[in-house]
Amino acid sequence: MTGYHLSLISLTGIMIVFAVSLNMIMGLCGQVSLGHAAFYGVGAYVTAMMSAGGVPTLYALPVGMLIAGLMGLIVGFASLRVRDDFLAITTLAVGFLFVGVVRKSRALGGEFGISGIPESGLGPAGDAFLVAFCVVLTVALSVYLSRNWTGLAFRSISANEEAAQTLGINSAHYKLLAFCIGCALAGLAGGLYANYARFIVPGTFGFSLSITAAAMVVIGGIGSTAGVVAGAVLLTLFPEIFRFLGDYRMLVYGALLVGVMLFQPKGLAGIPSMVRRWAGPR
Amino acid sequence: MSDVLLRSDHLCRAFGGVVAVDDVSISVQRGELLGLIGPNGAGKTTIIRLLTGIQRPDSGKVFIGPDDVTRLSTDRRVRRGLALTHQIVQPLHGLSVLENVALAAGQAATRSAIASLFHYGRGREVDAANVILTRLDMLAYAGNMPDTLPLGYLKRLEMARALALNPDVLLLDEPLAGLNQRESAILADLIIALNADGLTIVLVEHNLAEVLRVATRLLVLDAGRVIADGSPSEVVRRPEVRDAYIGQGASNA
Ligand SMILES: Nc1ncnc2c1ncn2[C@@H]1O[C@H](COP(=O)(O)OP(=O)(O)O)[C@@H](O)[C@H]1O
Ligand SMILES: [Mg+2]
Repeated sequence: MTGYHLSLISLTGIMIVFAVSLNMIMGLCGQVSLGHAAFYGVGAYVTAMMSAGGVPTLYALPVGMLIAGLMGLIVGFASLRVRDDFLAITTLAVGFLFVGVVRKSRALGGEFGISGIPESGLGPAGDAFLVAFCVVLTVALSVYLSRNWTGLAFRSISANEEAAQTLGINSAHYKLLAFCIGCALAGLAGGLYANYARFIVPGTFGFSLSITAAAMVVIGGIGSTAGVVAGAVLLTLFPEIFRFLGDYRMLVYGALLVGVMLFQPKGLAGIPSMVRRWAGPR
Repeated sequence: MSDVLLRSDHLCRAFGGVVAVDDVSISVQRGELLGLIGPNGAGKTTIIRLLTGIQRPDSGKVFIGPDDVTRLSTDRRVRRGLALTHQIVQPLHGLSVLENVALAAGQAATRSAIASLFHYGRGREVDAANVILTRLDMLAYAGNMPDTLPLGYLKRLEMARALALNPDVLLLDEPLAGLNQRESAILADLIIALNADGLTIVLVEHNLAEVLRVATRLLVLDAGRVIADGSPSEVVRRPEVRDAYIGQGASNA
C-alpha cells in the first residue's frame, strides 16, 4: 500500500465520520443543516491550534469535539426559535459566518490558515488506525442511536413534531441533543482532518463542504447509517475517480443529487431491497 | 363533588377575525364522561387544543388539578396526565403501528432526552402496546406502517397511543368519525368500558346518538361559547340547543 492509498483511506474515514455525524441531525432527527462544515471547521481549528501549542493530538481531539458540540448546542437553541423552513437558512448563515470570522481572525491565521501543524507522533499507520478507530466508534454510536429510545424519539420528531409532543416527547430537548452529538462528531472529524492535512485554510470549511456532506447523506440514504457510509465512500473517492471531469464534477454531483431525490429517495440504502424486488417473483 | 382534574378559566382564542373560543370556563370532574358537542366550527377542536397546549389562548387559563399549566408545553401536560386523540389523524409515519404505541408506552424511557441515551430495551413497552392493540382489535396490523392502513385503523391507532400514555384524563376529538357503524359501536363500547374502569373522558363527537348513549354530562358549544351544560337527556330538550342545530343537518351536529 502506497502513501497515496493510505492517505486516501484516511480521508475517506474522516468523511465517513463527518457524513454520519450530519446524518444524526438530518437523518435521525429530521432537522435540516446546511452549515455542518462550520463544526468540522471548529474541530479542525481547535485541534490545530492546540497541537501547534504543544498539546498532544489525542488530548486536542476531544477538546475540539467538546467545543464543536457546545457550538452545536448554541445553533440548536437558535434553531428552536425559527420555524422549520428557516432552519435551512439559519444553518446556512452559520456556515458563512464561521468562514467569515476565521478569514478575519489574525489569531486563527486569517486567509492563510494554520500551517505546520505538528505530527501526532503516532506515525502513518498509527494515524490511520486512529481514524479507523473513530470511524468504528461513530458508526457504532449511530447504529445504537437509531435503535434505542433516543432514536425512536428522534424518528417521531422527524415524522411529525406536534404528534410527538402529544406523546410526551420534549422535542426541543431532543433536537438540542441531536445538534450537540452531531456537531461534536463533526468536530472530531475536523480534528482528524487537521491532523491528517497538517495545514488548514478557511476556504476548506465553506459551503461546498457542507453541501458535499448533505449529498453524502442524501445519496447514501437519509437515516440509514450503512447507506450514509456508502455515500461518504462514494463521494470521497468520486473526485479521485472522476478527476478527468475537472470543473464539471460539481455539475455531476448536482445531477446525481437531483436524480437520487427524484428516482431513488432511499438512496444507496434502498438498492438491496430494490434488487430483491426485481429478482423476486413477479 | 370538588374533584376537578382539568379546568379552563375564561379561555379565549381568535384566528384573525374569527373568535373560535369565547370565554369558555369548563371543568372536568374525576370519573365523568363529558360529552362536548356543537355545530361544525363551534370551537370544540380548538378547546381541546387549548387544553392540551397545542395552541395557546389569547387570554384565560388552564389548570390540571390545582396547578396552572397555561404556560406549559404539550409534552409537559401529557406527562401530567392528559392524553388526546386528533380529529385529523396524525400517525407517526416511518414508525410501525407497534412503534407508534410503544413510544407512547415508553414515557419513563423518553422523559429526559439525555437519560433516553441509556435506554435500549423495549420489551416492557412492546408488551404493553400489544395488550392495547389487542383490546382495539388491531394486533394483526402491529407490524404495518401507518400509510398502509385505512382511516378506520388510523383512528384506532390514535386511541391506542392515547391509552398507552396511561392518562388521568383522555380527550377524544371525534374518535368515531370515519368509522363504519360496526367499528363505531365497538369503539363507543370501549369508551364506556374505559370510563366504567374509572378513566375520566372528554368526548367530542358529532354523532349525537352515540354521545347521548355514552355521556354522563353534556356541554353544548355554539360559536365559541358554552350554551348548555347538564345531563344529556335534559340538555337536548332545551330550546337554545335545538336552535343551534337548526339548519346544521343531522350529520353535522
Ligand atoms: N388554525 C386555524 N386558523 C384559522 N381558523 C381556525 C383555525 N382553527 C380553527 N379555526 C376556526 O375556528 C373556528 C372553530 O374551529 P374548530 O375548533 O375546529 O371547530 P369544531 O371542532 O367545533 O368544528 C372555525 O370557524 C374555524 O374555521
Ligand atoms: Mg373539530
